[in-house]
Amino acid sequence: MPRPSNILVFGAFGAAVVLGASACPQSPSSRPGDREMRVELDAYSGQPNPSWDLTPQQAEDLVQRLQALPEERGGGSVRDGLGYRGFIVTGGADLSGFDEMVVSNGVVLGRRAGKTQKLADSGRELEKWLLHTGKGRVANDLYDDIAKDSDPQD
Amino acid sequence: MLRVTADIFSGRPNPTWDIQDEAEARAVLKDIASNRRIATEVGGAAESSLGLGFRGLIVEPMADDLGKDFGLEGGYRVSPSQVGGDSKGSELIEKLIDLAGKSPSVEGLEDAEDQGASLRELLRDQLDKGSRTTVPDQRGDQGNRGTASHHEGTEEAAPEITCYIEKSPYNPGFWNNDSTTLRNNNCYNYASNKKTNTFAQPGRGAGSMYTALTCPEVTRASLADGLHHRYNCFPDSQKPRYLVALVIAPGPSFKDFHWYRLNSENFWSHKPGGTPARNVDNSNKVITNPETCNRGPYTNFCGYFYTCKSQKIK
Repeated sequence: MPRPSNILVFGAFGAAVVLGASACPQSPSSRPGDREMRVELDAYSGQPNPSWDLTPQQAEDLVQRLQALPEERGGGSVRDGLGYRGFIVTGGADLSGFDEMVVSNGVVLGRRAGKTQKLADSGRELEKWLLHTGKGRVANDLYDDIAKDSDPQD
Repeated sequence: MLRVTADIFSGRPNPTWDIQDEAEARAVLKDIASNRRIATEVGGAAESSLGLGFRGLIVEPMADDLGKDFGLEGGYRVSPSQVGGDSKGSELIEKLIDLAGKSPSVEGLEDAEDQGASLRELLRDQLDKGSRTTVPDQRGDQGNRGTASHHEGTEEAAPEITCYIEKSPYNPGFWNNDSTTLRNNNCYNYASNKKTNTFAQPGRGAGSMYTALTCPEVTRASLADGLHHRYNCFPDSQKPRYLVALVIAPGPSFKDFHWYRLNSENFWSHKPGGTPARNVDNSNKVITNPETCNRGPYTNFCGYFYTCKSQKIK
């Protein structure tokens, strides 16, 4: 049975994601209001991807959602190739944890210095939530297309 | 410690540098031990046919226990000709060249101000020149793309013409191993084989960027950067002249452009945005024809072009 992931802490100046580590003391600059997390909708090849910053409340919400995710123990993998792939979450230049997280196809992949850790995004709930944070920042027709892709039941 | 020798000169000593970091040294040996096809033993039978020019990088453990941990003894040569299109081999060569760039001291390059950086430039130059081949690209020749195109105006009445182009071995490690390179270079950078770290846009280099994501408009912008339509030949002075293909995702909701480049292995490779370079399509099949491969939403095939040395890309 999957177990909850260990502590994920978004640290100084952004998403310092520490996966698989024990509790980590928060520095004064890692208060929820200071988190500046950027979400990138990873879809394009030639053009730059659409991206936006999360509000402090959304960043706090994201941390909580990540903390609840179990480790991915199956063979799930992120999407690659041409077309919509998923989301990339970064936290600015001053990351003391993972450099980025990729949320795609039911998998959350944390990357740092060539090392990765996989979490399971059951039902692609986190992916759908990230898309929702882009409402109004992503062109409406593209938003609707991706919403259908990530939740075909809708 | 590992000693690396760039086997490159004939009349003077080859440059050598040391990998002092134990973890990095072990990682190199592990790569060789896990992928024995990419390296040959120094002094072995394969050494007799090395010839002139860049003959590879020789990796040699400098302590008796280091190589033994990986079942390796003596020196090992990793050469571009041996590696060919093997991505593991290409990645190892790129890694060793990067480590040379970080080396504070290089024997055999005493004149250079920044020895590590100079050596890195020298090796990259040799690697590029040494592995690139010039081939004819003849109108009506099916070999380069698998099927005839209806996008070039190459119907039977078109006059015969032969241009010369360059093909390079598939080398995804150059684009994929460094996260800055990976994220900041797109399909246009990759097809042009020009790293700018700017997520290059057709026409931006010439100050005339595309204004719509359509075949005619992205074509116009690319020609403004200096590309030529296929069979509009470039002279030798414009080497390297790669054969590339442009496609468009026409929308209505998903609009974008994408490029492919022909490699010397006669497959096509590409780099989807900030994701790794690859030589397979959306069905995970090696791309032998960019017109018919699975391109996901990029359903419009615009045509083939040549890149060139003087291409403005930004």
